[in-house]
Amino acid sequence: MSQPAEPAAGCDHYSKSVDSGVWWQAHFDDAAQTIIDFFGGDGISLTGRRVADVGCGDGIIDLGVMLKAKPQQLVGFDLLTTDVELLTERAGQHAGLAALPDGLFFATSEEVRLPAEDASFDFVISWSAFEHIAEPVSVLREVRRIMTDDGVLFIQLWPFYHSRHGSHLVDWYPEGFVQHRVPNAEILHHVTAAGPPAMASEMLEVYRTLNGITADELQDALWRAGFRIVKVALDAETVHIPDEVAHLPLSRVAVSGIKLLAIKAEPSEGAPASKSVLDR
Amino acid sequence: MSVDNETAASGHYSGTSDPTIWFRSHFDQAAGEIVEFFAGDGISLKGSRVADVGCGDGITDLGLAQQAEPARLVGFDIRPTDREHLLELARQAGVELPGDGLPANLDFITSGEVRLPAEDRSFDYVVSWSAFEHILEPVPLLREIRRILTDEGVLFIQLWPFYHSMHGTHLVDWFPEGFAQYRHDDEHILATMQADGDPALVAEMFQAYQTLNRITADELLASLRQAGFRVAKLALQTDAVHIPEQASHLAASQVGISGIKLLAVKAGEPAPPVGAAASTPVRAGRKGVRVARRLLQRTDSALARLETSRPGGSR
Repeated sequence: MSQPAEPAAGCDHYSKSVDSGVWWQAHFDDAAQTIIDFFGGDGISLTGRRVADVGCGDGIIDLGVMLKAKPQQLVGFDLLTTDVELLTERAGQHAGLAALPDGLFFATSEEVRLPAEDASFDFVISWSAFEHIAEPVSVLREVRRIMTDDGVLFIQLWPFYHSRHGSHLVDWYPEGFVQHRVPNAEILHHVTAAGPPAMASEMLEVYRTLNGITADELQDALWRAGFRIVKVALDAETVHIPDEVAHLPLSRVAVSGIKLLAIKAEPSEGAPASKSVLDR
Repeated sequence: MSVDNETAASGHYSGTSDPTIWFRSHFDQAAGEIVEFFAGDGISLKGSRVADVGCGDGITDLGLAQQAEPARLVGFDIRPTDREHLLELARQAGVELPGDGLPANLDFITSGEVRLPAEDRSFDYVVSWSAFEHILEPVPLLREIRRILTDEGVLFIQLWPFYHSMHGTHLVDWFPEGFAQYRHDDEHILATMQADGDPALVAEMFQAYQTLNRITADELLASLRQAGFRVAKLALQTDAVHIPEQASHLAASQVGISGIKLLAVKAGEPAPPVGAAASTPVRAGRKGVRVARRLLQRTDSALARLETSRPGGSR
């Protein structure tokens, strides 16, 4: 059967090589609006509320949510200190802003510790972060701690490790499934040789430290941390399956992402129906 | 009964929906989706020999025979397909049929539960639309499909809705809010149906519900592997869904995946099942049929229908 090469369309938002304007729009406009709409679909408004973003990265999404939804306060947490000067510069360049809005803060967190009071946030959001987090359950417990009892957690994750572009290396492997097809030594060599060096080493580190979590394992982690999913939307694109991937469960290969809302529940020993083994 | 916008798209399997909608959603839409899914991989059914397994009322096959122009199209079902009824449906829907009859390249053959009356390697393509959630023994039937398919043949399977998804009961007409399979027990479900519905239809739809095999996407893959197929292309259908507390124990991948379309090719050797996906898909099976009988015996409606054991059509 012929396998037409499909462009890696839609991958722009995590490809570091794209034009900075594309990157900006994918986060400032698209990601921020997606978060607002996913809450909005359940009649939830962030306006005037206290919002935390776990794994905020460069802070562009937070700026977008701040300006579009006008929460009272938005705090972006990340292990790596967010470069506020760079964000301000970009805000000027792409959105004509002279300064970051009041109410937008960034705080450097530890691996499993968020520097915030108990029950101090009404909503917690997380965008493309939980595939990088080494201890998801511990972080989710911490998220639960800083959230009010009637708070709502939004998580977006894309791409799942086993899906086509789960390696995050689409710039070097647009055909996908490199994580199942190519030995790590070869990936290292290819990515390093293709450069540029700083980006290559950053993305290789990203690839090396992915936690390999699946949709069901994310649900299981939520369950253990004391959350219950109330709304879920999976991402699934039509995908051609190479031989090397044919042994994997369909749901892992074809489910590339997730968006969900979760609320507090009693912590438990994991969702009974889900498989809790991290098999990487 | 009312069906809101959210469930409007479910009309295509709703037994009570407008017959014209039902006809068009199979004659145009289902047939069109099959043609397109093949065409996306550069495959045309024109001039080929095509079999449809679980063809039901044959509307999809009529559409396929016209749209795709195969040399021959045979619809198999364990219940005989009513040609006169199909012709009547086509006339009602205003479909122009040359000579006012079914096309010469279209045939319907009654099959056994796991036996397709056809020669080895006699079909280039096999298609199946909304049937594999009803089939009690998927692996033996898939082996049979493999037998009648040429070595270069391609199998198309569409399945919707998966049992664990919002409308997995197939009872959207009575439970538009979804997840009735987790919210209500069987007696409540039957009583709700009986309170509002044609007794014959209620009996048929309740039995169909009771005998669903509850197969998941991963179990369908495992079944295909066991039968000697390899999935080459697949598309999952995922809809944003609210999860009621009674369904919160289910895996996100089961609740969030409502349907599938796939192309599979013959694998060299039938492979052993894999890991977590290897469990036996059939859960309701015969026990379900027995329970359905017991519950329905309390009613005086359409008992005879229960004796025609079946599931296999597109309803």
